[in-house]
Amino acid sequence: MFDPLRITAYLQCGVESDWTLPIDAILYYQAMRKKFGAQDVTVSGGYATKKSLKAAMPLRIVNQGLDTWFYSASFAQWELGRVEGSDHWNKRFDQTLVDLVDFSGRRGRVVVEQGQYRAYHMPIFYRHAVSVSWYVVGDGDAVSELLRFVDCIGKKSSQGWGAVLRWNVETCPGDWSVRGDGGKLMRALPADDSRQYTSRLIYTGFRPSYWHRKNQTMCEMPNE
Amino acid sequence: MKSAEVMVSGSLEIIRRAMSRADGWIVAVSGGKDSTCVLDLVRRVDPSVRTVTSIQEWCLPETSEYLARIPGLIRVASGSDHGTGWAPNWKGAGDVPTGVQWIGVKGSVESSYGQDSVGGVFLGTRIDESAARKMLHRVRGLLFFSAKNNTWQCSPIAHWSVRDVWGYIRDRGLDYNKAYDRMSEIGVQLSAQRIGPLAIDKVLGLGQLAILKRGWPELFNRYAAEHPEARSYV
Repeated sequence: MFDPLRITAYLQCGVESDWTLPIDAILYYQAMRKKFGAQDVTVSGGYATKKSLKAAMPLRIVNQGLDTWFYSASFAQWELGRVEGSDHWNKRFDQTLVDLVDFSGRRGRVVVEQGQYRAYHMPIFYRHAVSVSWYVVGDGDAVSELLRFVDCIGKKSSQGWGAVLRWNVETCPGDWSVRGDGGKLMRALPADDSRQYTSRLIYTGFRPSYWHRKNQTMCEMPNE
Repeated sequence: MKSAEVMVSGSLEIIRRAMSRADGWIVAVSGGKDSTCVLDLVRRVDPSVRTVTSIQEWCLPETSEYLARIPGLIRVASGSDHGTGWAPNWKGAGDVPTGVQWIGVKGSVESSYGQDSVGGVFLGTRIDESAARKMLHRVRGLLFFSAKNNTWQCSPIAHWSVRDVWGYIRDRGLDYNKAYDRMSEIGVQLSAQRIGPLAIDKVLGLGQLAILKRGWPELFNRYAAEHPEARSYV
């Protein structure tokens, strides 16, 4: 049984991600992990299984049967008191440890311009708020079950970014997963060729995996 | 005289000296702040100097708009992948837009643009951009003959800082590439704000594509759809 839900994450620190931070992507990742099961074997430089699995999601599907199907889930709704910032992560070979490198008895140099030891000074852009919410239409219990294992969201979580203190899943009086209060767009909506749009359409992802080309098309997008 | 005026007059003097050494100088324009500055300085000395840009298949929309606003700009194109190995530019002469001169797969403005008629190239390189540029200008100075390219090269603002460049642009009320406004808006430090091809191997490790993804997400999506390797650098 699918109900309109409001999902809230209470954040411990900033989240390094796009502002859209779609909840269906987070749930999809957890659903796939659940489907794959415990990782009890690893293969060096590869995957233990090459099976292509599909995970059932506890969310309603919109445009079912069409190429442009997507989950009934909004993009992140950030609190008004949110802040944005930027920082960097760095990677640089420690030249004081160069004597530990095995050059096979020949003279050598650790190349930091490219390859394995390439140096990086990469910017990261983050957002922080006390909480961030999403609106979905789905099975509340199943959604809560998947979110139990989500202790961080966004990128660079291994460095502490995006830590979540707790999740709250509650029923919502209305379905704001696609259109919110006053018809406000809440997520990327694949463009309908038969319709004339006044706003500019954007080439972007509309379902998980959002980065994948097959899941990207011209979409109507809410404002940042 | 204020220090800024000394700096500007020093650069103008280098430009005059350069022009007395050879005929047929061009200004290489990338669309960035440094070449904007050099272009204005050179035109103060000789308003008729030619301006050349190497256009890219993929670039920021603001860069295209800015280049379109520069009068008399000569457009050339090359197939250089800027060291990435995965982001080729134009494939060949038949691939480039009409009116654009093809300068070869590995051509650069300095080395290939109408060699017979180019005596020297003004560049907007600065020593605080990289250790290599610092070394180049320390060893060879701001005006030198490049045997490799068979032309003179002059970097009149090599000793300027990024703040000097922006100070000059503001004082002179120059038009500039509005992509810088977007980069400031998303919190990119002044020293990290670069304009050029979307992927240059030497600066990928400095977050060039991470900035693109944050500031121009749709362009990044299109670029990454074409060049999936781009997603490894965000």
